Amino acid sequence: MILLKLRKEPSMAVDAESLCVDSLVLKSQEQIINLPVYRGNKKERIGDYFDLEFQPGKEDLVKIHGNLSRFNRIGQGMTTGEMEIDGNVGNYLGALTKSGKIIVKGDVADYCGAMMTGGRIEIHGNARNYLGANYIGHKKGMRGGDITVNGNAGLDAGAYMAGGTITITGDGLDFLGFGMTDGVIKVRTPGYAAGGSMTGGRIECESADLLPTFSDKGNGTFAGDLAAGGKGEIYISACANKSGK
Amino acid sequence: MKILLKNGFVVDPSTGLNEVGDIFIENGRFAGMTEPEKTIDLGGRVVMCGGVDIHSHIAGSKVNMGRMMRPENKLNVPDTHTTGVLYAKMGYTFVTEPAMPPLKALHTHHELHDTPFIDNAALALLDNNHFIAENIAEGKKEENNQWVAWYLAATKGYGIKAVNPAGGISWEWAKELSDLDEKCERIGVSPREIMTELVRVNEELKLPTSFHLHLNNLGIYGNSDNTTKSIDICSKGRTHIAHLQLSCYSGDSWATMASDADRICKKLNKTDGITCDMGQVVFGDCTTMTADGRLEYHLQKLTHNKWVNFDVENETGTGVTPYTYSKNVAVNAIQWAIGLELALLLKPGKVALSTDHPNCGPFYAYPKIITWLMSKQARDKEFSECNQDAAKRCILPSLDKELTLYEIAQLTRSTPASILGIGHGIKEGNKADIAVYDLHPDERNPGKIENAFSDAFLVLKDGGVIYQNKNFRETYGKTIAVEPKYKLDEKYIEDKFYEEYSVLSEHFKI
Repeated sequence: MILLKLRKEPSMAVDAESLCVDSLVLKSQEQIINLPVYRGNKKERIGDYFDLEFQPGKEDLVKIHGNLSRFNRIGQGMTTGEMEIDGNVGNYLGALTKSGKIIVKGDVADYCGAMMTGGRIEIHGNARNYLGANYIGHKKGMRGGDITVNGNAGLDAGAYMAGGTITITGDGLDFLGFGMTDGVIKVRTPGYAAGGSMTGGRIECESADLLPTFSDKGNGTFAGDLAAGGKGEIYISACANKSGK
Repeated sequence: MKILLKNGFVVDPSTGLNEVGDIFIENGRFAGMTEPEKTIDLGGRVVMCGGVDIHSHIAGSKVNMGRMMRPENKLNVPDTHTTGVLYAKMGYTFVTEPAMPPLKALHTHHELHDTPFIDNAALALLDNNHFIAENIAEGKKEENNQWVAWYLAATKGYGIKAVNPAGGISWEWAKELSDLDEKCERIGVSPREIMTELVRVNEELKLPTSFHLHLNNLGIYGNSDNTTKSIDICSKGRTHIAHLQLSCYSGDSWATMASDADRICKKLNKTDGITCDMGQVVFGDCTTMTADGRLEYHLQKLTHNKWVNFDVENETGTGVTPYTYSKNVAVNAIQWAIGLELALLLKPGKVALSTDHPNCGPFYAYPKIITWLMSKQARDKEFSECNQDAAKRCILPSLDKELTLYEIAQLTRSTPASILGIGHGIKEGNKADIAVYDLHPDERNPGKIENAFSDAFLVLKDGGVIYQNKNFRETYGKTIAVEPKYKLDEKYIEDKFYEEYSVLSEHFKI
């Protein structure tokens, strides 16, 4: 098991794509501490920020401790193994993940799990904006995999989702599931325009204030977004046991 | 500086050269034999004049809208700097921005000014101009001479462009015109009337280039009859039909759509004064952008893609939406075939190479298109990967012709230069814009041809080296514009502006 402990917090955002099981597994001490991270336009090394220990346990398990809120792209494009992070994390945590598992005992910032195609991400704290969403301009975002958030999510959670599942124990903000074509998002209460422009997929929540372009099918199921000719569904448990219009 | 380019294989249809020769350059221009200060031995490599692109959307408001719309694919609509670099790398030294709305001319010129290496020009969109259309409805010809002369001078435009004439006025009201004699909304003029008038004014003002025209009913099955009628209407003067591929469709539905290029080419070949550019499709992700708003509306209804539609007050409009040309979509394969059919069937001097960048393909795919034209094997291979339903709906598979380097030089240099009316050719006094390719004249291997045209061995602009050994020496070209010699009634224009525009005529001028 690879254990990385943060020794020094960076003065600005650091792109840390090399903090990913794929890059770290089966490498030596020397190799790992010399892997590059980028602080602005300066190329630095993992060893500049972290102390490394090898401990008994699975060789494809990576644990990272510390306040990583300035580290971006941790676990990006992951295809194997497991990461356990004890601390808050920055942007793009586990973006483009294909397989594998990441657990964050803390909060994450924007674009967590964006463009994911498989694998599993567990956030014990809160997520900020664009959870499991598309990268700007892309027609589809997350296509597979599972994201769970024990706390709340921000804006645009699951935007342009095309598969997979997002489960948010708390609430989301505006535009949850915007442009969805497939997949499932579970949340307690989303914000404004949940499922806006959705053409497929499903959102499940306890209560919501829906756009007028969702039609009440009865038993808590609403179909839409009719403005996009959509065949998506939003299920609101507080509206179950009520008949449709 | 006196430069000698020694021992190149000169392919220059403007002067008829197609042989080994030496080129002398003095003070940035071709010169007679002279004692050189610098000699470059080209080792028998192919030399041509700098490439000339007659129709490529590279600068202005809608191009920038396309850039903003495609953050996920930035090379699709390149920024101004990248545009200049990629053109120079291919040995191109002149590009025409074909659609500048007069009200947004400042944006176009800012971007042209920001684009390195290439000389350039912008055509002013006068297709659905309310004042010109109203004058047509009232039979006022002198006033239209005024407007065109004024607009070109005020916007530093090079020529007249019309896109979906009269159709654009109807589109302001979400309506479309079904034929060339149907009158548009409110103002009540027909496409025929606008085309006829703009052809007339172009000749009356003795403008250097043809009247440039994007036909009505572009991109829809069965539009080829429209094309032959438009050719007749516009043959009273010089007319250049843009991206003709998009207007060569027979059929009455997408299922029956087929290539009518053979018939169109026969007509074009015997009609003097009418030229075209290909509008060649290159399979892959493209961004369509055109003043033909109704076309873009229909396209996005089909694809559900992101889409922008906007109106340019009093003048014209725009639509922008991505589109992917796929080999397994028969219609796209037929569109691809038609572009090549045009280049293979039309006589020299009638057709120029284009992809209507970025509508049907990126301009940096020109080298690939050249291989399809020079090698039947290369285009057969591409076609073999397409939906074979297309095979019976186009004639490309039966065309054996393989273009020579000389014919490629016509398509990419002498023909567009001649249509644009810009001096061209390796002749004493002409600007020394030269492209040398790492290619021997008898090379027929498509891969080698494509590589050679993708990355020029040496490029000179105004007699100075701008690209050599993969190094650029950054320079900026010039924007050329016309100043029609026509006595203008400034007060008439000022008053119209005051009544109808939200800016004054004095502020409108670049």
